[in-house]
Amino acid sequence: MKLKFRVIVSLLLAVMILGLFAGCNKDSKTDGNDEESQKPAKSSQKAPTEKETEKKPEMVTVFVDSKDAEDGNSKKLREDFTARTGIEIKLNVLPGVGQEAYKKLDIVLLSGDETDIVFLNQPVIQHKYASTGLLMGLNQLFKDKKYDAEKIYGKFLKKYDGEIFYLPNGATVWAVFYNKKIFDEAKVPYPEGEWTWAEYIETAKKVTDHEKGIYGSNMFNWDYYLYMIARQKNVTGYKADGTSNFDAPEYKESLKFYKELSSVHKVQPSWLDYSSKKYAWNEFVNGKMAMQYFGTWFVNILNDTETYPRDFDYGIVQPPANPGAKNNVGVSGAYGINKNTENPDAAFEYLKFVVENWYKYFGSPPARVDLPDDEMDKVIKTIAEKSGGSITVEDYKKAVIDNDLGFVDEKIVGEAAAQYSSVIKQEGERYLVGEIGLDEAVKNIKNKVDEAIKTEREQSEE
Amino acid sequence: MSRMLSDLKISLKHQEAITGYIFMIPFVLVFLVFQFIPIFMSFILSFMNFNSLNAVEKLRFIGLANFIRVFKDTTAIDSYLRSFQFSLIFVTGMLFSSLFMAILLNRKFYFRRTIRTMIYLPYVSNIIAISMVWRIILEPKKGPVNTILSIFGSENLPLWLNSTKLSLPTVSIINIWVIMAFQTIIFLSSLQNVPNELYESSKIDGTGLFGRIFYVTLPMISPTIFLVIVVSIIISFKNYAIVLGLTNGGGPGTSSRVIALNIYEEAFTFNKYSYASAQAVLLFIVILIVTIIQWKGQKKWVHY
Repeated sequence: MKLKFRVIVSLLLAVMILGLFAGCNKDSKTDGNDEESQKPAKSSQKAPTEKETEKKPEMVTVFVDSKDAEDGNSKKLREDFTARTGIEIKLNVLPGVGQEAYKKLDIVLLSGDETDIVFLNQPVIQHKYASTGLLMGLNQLFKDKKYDAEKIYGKFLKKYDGEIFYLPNGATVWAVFYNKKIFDEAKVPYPEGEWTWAEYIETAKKVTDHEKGIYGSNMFNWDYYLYMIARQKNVTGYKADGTSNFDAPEYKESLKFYKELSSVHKVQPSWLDYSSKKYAWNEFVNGKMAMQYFGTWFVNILNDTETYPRDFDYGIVQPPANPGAKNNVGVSGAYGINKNTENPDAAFEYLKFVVENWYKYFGSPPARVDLPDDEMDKVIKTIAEKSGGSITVEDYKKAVIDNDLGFVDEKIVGEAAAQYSSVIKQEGERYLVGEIGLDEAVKNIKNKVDEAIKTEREQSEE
Repeated sequence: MSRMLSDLKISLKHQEAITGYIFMIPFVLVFLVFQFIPIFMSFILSFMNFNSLNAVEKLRFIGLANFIRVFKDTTAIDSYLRSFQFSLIFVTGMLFSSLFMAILLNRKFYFRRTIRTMIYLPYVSNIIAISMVWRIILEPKKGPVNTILSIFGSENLPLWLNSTKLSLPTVSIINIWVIMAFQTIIFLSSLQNVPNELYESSKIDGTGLFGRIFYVTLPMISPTIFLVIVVSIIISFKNYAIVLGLTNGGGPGTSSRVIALNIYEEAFTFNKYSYASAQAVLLFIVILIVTIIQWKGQKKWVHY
């Protein structure tokens, strides 16, 4: 009887366990939205004919974050790719946007996911994935396909010991966007051409009107703003021995500059205002900020008046630069191929299409050196048209392309880069809310980053 | 099911046992797959070198290196201490406020049933929605709380969630408000089980209100108090979502970066999975020790 009892219990347990795991099984390597789901599933009830089986369309799978999955420009790009190549796209949608999505992506890639295409939105992410072997080395593939990446991307191409792991999709630079309505009401001329940060502050003071709740300047609580003066001078984040260079005077100057915009010049909301979510990162759209220092990708938001309605025209001008630091800053987004891809040919086609044509859909300056001048003019013309008369082709070109500013990467990229960014924000915040002084903040950042770098080295040797 | 088991000529005793096992299976399976196995894996991981994305191809055991590093890491140690501070405020506040609330709700008054339902609302509300509302309420410049304080002449208005000194206690108190309903209901059911005869005889003996609370109510509900303390301590160390929602991830600076948040950052922002696991194992040990001390100490004051 006891044996019978045990057998029955064991059988029941086995059935339940099998049932549970059968439920977990899926016959797909992606779990996200299917772009093709927009089309009706015509023959889901019918077994495919022999001819249909033979003609199964090529498919490329692509990681996107939740914003990109819904973005109109991205959708158009994907539709055009399928129309041109016949290769269908299946999306693997990562929850969240930006940094949050990459936390999920880390885990997904580590688990051996085979989704073909990986989007790398900024240099710290690019460095992380390329240097840890999660991306496919592209040299051999390019050789097989006779694809001359050097010729197309030139100075924008990054290599790791001679190997290419990703291709840049654009070279976003920074610009100052201004609210023409606020400038007109304050009877202040629009900013134009070369200018310094001191002139930026003076202009901001003239258009600031606290009674009306108008600030002259808007720079949100992103870590970049805390070291932008140093990066514009192209001061590196690391010393020659690999330790933090945050004790360089330019970094101290940067922190001080950001704080004084609100505490001394009163032209910008304080860090406290930003961190308490009183003002949004895109507060400029709400018409209470006269100037916004941002990446040129912001033009897409300003031109999308359905999602972001505004009651003013905007202008665009090149960013201020101090003497001896005549650089614009920016980042290149990039795309790479997952090292686990089982579909390198289709992945290559998508990679090529998306990075070569990105600028046509998003209006960012392309990271290409092979384009004729009139090609970019066509893109800028579209941007100007979409702006509803706010900006002209000339305005955009002067602000973004035809000026005498050089270009430097905005991010601090290297060992323990994620910790570096995190520490700058933590200690910078303590300084900005008045808990610690400037010298202490700089010292803390330097020491904590050095410690993080040391730990990183020790851990990589273990 | 029982008919099927009867047909198989299995004794009643065994039929009951089988039915019991069947009822347990869903929980056991979910527990094994989603809790026990991850916890076990995390324990194993804490002894390995999985501290970067590329380490997955050369994983190996490194002994106690991750644990030793935790004790040298001031950020981690500070986070543990902050968790203790959070826990102290949370458990003390929770105990008194939920007991007080339960005593009030145990009395007869108009709309008692409605109010009992209402106090449960924060507990079932979305934590992010709660965070957003409290951030508005405690907004330093024009938030309602500071506006009222300024009307009454307060000059140095507190920065609440934006203060390096106040952010942690503020989060802790908000968390009490969120979770209090659960503990209140446990206390309420316990209070309702205290025999009325004990109160009547203490009244005859001339005991006042406070006397009845200290000499009748508290000893009678001491097992519940013990349960609430144990549960509250465990909840207080697992305080990830509320801190993240209210403080932009442990700010200002690192002033509210508790250990649960630190573990998350180490694992998912810095990809130091083994190091984060070591911190999690240490947190588990800390909670275990605190709970064992409580179990040992309860004999002196808990009356079963």
